[in-house]
Amino acid sequence: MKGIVFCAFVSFAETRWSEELADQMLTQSDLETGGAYTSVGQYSHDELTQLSKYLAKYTSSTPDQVMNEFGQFLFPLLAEQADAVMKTYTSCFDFLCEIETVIHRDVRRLDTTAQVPMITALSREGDSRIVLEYRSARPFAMMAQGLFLGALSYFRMDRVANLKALEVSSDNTHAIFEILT
Amino acid sequence: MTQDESDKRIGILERKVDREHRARVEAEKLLESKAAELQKANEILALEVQKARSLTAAIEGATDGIALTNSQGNYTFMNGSHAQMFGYEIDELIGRPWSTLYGPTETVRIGNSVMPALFQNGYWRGEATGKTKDGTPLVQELALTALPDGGLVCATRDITQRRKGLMRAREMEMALQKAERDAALYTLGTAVAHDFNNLIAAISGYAVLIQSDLPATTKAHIRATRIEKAASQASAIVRSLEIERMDDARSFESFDLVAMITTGLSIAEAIRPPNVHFEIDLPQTANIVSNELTLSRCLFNIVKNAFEAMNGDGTLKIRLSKTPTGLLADDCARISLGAPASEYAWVIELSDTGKGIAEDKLDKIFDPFFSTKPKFQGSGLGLLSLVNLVELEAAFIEVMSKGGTGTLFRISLHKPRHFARVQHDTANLARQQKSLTKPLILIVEDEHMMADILTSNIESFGYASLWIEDPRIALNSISQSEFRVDVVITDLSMPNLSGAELTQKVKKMRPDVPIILYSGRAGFIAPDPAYFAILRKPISTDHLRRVIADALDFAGSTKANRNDL
Repeated sequence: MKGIVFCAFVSFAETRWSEELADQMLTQSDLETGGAYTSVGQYSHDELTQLSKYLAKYTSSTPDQVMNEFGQFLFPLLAEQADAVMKTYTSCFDFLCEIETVIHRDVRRLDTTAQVPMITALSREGDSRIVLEYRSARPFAMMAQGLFLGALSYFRMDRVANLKALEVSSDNTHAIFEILT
Repeated sequence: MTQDESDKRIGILERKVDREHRARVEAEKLLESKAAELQKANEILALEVQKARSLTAAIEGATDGIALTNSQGNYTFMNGSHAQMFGYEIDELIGRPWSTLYGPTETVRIGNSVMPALFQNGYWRGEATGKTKDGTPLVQELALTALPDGGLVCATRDITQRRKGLMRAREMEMALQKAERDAALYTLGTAVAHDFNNLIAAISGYAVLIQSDLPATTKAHIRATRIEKAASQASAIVRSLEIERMDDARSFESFDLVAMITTGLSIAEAIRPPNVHFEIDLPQTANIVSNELTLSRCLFNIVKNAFEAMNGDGTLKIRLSKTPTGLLADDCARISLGAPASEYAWVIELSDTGKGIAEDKLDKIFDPFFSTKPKFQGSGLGLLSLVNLVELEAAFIEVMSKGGTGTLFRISLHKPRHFARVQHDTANLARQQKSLTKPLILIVEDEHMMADILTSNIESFGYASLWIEDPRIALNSISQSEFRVDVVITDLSMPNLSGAELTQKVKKMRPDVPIILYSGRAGFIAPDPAYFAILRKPISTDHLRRVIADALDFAGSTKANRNDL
């Protein structure tokens, strides 16, 4: 998994809670890397799971909640990096529909080692309803949900849209979400 | 902030700095690794770019036309050969549809049958007829390959000239076959007619002599008269059997020897054994004035014989140059045909690595019906084409052969209208003539029997006669100012110098001497003021007497006129 996600997660812990908690998380999670992440590196996704579990334990929440919040935190950072691409979209649903066919396709072209999840629009009714499917080898369905929420916020639809998980697999590798406006 | 809080804060920052330091070290390692990968990728890219440039240069420099079209069928790339093939500049065709280069009918054919097959199979190979910028049809060999984007790659070659060459080769092959047939028939016919005419002339001549020896009332005289009449009828029958030689077997024209040899070899390719190979050394072009058909026959027959002599395995070298190479081997057997010259227009040499021709058979290879091949496998007429070439004064032929090494045929082609000059000492003949007081009739004849009859007849007319067997000696004698001659009577067909050639040369030196030409084929001799008369064998005695008398009158009046002047 790309180092940028790990760096963002550390930043998320520091911002959302504190540098102290982030420091504890990194020193006490028994990480193989010791928490020395760089955005250009590549690390095992298991470390992200370990980190989310640590945060959940010390913040009286669940790992799913942590990953959901992290997704919302992560989206603006990613959008900032792909600012030129994001500016081509004015509709959130158009963007969500093209994550797989445009965004991930370009990611794969630029980095042949990238292992992005599959995000597919199963159905869409104009700008009133869209059903999205998440499928990945990694258990980050809740992070995907957070990213969708981040997207709604980016396109200023967070107040008018309602996101609901219709189906989530027990191992978090597969989920179906519905967004209604 | 308390000391504890401060220490805690410092601890957090130190660990953070430590993590960042380690992360930076890892990042630097990663960057180094990526930089090395990038460097390697750059090197590979540079090689690929170089390869692409080489390929582009190869495509640009290719003699075959190469073009690309997009999915709309418009040209997106084209090399110079492709554009030039159709008479365009590249820029004139880029962006234009492929149908620009085809007429309406061919465009429909390509659209209906070629394109569907191309996009179904991914490729198409075949021929098409394009249209150049000035509307000239262009026969092309086409190789089309479909591209994933819906476009196509077109590789093409102009085969218009190849098509024409093939057609010319077919025509030449047919002409050669016909010429071979005609030559065989001609040779057979003239050989039989010549021999029969000589015999008939002898029969007729002796019958006349018998008549003159006996009183007209004797039975023997009457029988001799009948023999003469029967001989005359026999002669007429033989004449009716004579086969006229085709005009194209005698005509001279200007042509390219290289094209002729290349065409001939393409015809011979059909009978080339698989393990016999050609080694060809030809200039770009070699123009000459000669008899193309006879020369083609010569080459084809030599090549055919070489294939057979090599018994399915060997090399046939064909060389065309201005000067001959040396001997085939120091100890090779040699024969020649015709008169050599100091320089030649072109020299064709064909040497094989076959079994060679035995020395005792080499001097017979130009004899009609002689063959070294097993019975029924060779007509013995093929190399007569070389004799024809020499008769046309077109070439000097040399053949060298050595058992186990092979045979070399050298055809040294004369410059236009070559005439060989032969010098002989005729002082002795001139001395003999001084005692003569009667008109002197010079007989030039290589056949002893015919010469004997003519001598007897001429002397019976009351004239002196001189017989010279070799026309070259006769010519040399006449060229001497002290040599006296009143009338020349000559045969047409003689070795070394024909009667017609002798006449032309004599007329240049002694225009006042009447020349009587005779032949068994007199009907085929073109009338020429150089001849005082043309007689057909067998010659009747009375006719001969009248013609010689007229010739002497003519010579006398010519001399008188000259004296008056």
